[in-house]
Amino acid sequence: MILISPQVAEHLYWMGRYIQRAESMTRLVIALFDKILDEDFDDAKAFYAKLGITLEYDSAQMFLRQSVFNLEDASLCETINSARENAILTRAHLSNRMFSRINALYLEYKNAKEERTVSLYWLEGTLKELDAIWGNLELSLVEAKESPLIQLGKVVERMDLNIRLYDSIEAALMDVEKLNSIAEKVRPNHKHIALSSSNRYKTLQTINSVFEALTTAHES
Amino acid sequence: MIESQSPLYDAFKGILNTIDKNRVQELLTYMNTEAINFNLFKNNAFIERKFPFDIIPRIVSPEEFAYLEKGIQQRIYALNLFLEDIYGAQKILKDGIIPSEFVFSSKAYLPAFANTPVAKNIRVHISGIDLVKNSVGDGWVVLEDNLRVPSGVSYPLSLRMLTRKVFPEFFEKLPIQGVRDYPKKLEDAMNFVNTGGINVILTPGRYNSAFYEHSYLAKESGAILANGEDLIVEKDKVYLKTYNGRKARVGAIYRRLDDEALDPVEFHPDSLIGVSNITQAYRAGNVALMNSIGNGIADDKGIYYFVPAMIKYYMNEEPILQNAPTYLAFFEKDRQHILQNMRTLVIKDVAEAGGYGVVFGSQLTKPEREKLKDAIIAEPRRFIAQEVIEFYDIECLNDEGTFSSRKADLRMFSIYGEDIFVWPGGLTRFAMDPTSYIVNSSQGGGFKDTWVLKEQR
Repeated sequence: MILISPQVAEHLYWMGRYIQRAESMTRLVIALFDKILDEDFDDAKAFYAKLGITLEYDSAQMFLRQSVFNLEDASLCETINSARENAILTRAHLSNRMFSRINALYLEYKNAKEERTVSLYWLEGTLKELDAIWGNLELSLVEAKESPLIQLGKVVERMDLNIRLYDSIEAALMDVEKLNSIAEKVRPNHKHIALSSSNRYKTLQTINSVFEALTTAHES
Repeated sequence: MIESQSPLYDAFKGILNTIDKNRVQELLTYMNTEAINFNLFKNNAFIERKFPFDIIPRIVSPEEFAYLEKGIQQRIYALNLFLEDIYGAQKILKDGIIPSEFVFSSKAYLPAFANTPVAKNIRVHISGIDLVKNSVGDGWVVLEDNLRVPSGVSYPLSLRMLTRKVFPEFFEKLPIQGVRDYPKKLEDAMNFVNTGGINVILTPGRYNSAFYEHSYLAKESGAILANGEDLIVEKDKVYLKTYNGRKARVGAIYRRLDDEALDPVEFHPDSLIGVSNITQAYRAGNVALMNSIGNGIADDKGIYYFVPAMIKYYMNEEPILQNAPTYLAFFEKDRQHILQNMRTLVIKDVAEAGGYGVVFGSQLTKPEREKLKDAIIAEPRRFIAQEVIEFYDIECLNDEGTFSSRKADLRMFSIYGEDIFVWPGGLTRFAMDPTSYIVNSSQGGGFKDTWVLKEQR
């Protein structure tokens, strides 16, 4: 029997989601920064508006500062904080290395918010750290029981962002096989998850209810 | 006053002088990255806080540890017998060693749990005994017995593990006793009383000051860390709920929440962190709770006064460890002494913990003293007074590499399983303020590791 409580399972899942979100956001901020410099100064404003977020900036550097630190609840820093909060709550299940990497990233952002300006070089360092966190999870034996829940968060977040940010259901559907493979580990003999490309809203809803469907009590 | 430096401390300093000081920063970063926190609540706000520490350990000689070990074993054995007695035949009251009224008037005495047997007759599974070393007479003095949910063991343990990595020189050159078996001893003790099922550490949750410790001990002892809502009681048995709908029977719970919060059905109905009906499972003998319910009566600051008498009564032995000279306002003669000598005494409210409710008479203004006198007269059971002990300071390393001295105590931990294991380490807590005697972590105090040395052959 896998001894993971419903609460811990949820925190592991959300830790996976927030780590993935941090990675996606970092890539997005880097891409938008390039667009601001090279193509359209207002591009990032339009992009964030699609998410219902008002973003104000009068320079590329200010865009970085806003998106990385200042956007309430939607900044990269806040996303990393959320990943770390879930790691704190599940640290009894994580390897020291996994936990301390996430915490170190959080501390770096916490300190940087007070002390430094943001550069692309620094953001690339964040991507390397996030790669290391994922790599650590792939290789670690400590989180063997927990890994599928974290991976589930990762793949759900990626599918969600592909639809929500990039309007690409097709890109999201490429992950369905992987989603089912992870779901099988989370809950053996679960009902196969099928998605169609015809309805964006329904697809998003299905993706975001996978965790709940897999963890709702059916047996005793 | 600093304890006269021993050859052991000289040897430590000799090594300290040769090491690369950059590694001090490395150790700080290491501790920080591991989030070894002792959180605080201030003005109703949660403050996530690193537990400040100092790299200079308290060093305890093998002879001194052997003495402390015997004294603590004796004390815990007697306190456990006291609890068995007080929730059973109450012979110690009938024989007039402790006034019945003194026990029955304590909020920590829970008559609803009288005659509830506990697994293997062990009630004090995990304890933390607070001691100081008196600069007058050079002897150790017990200040408090913590027999409910004593916290702190994970901090020196974590610091030790990291210090070994950053400063291996000390461990190569000094004969320091290992401490890493504490979680294994905890696991063994849980298994010893387990009534069938898995071991669980029950935490109040992320906003508890010692949540780090709960996570750490669960991970290292192999127990499952659970919140109240992760557990369910069915037919007087406790189960851990799992995310896939299954349930695992729980046989032993190291609970890190107070009695009052443990079961909303039995105690406070508004407790959100407890487990409904867990006390029913406990009464039925279907789960072992560590520590047992009702232990608070044995670590009541007033009952502390009677521990030497308990040792004589139950064990027919002389106490090895001494109490601080204590006066009970409950007794008329003592009360008069307290009222007449308030300026020279430290007065403690027995209902408080964590360094709260401790007042140095010398620091009170006249109106404050009069107010306290009135309170003592009105509620004598609530107060004890002790002679101020001039305990030794201990050296701390300042940021700039110089040394300063601070008041420091020592919390020693024991685990009662098949036998009473006294951990050859301890949490040395020091006051951050050079003029303060209050070392408690919840009052902002810092900590040090405690190195117990091995016998030299």
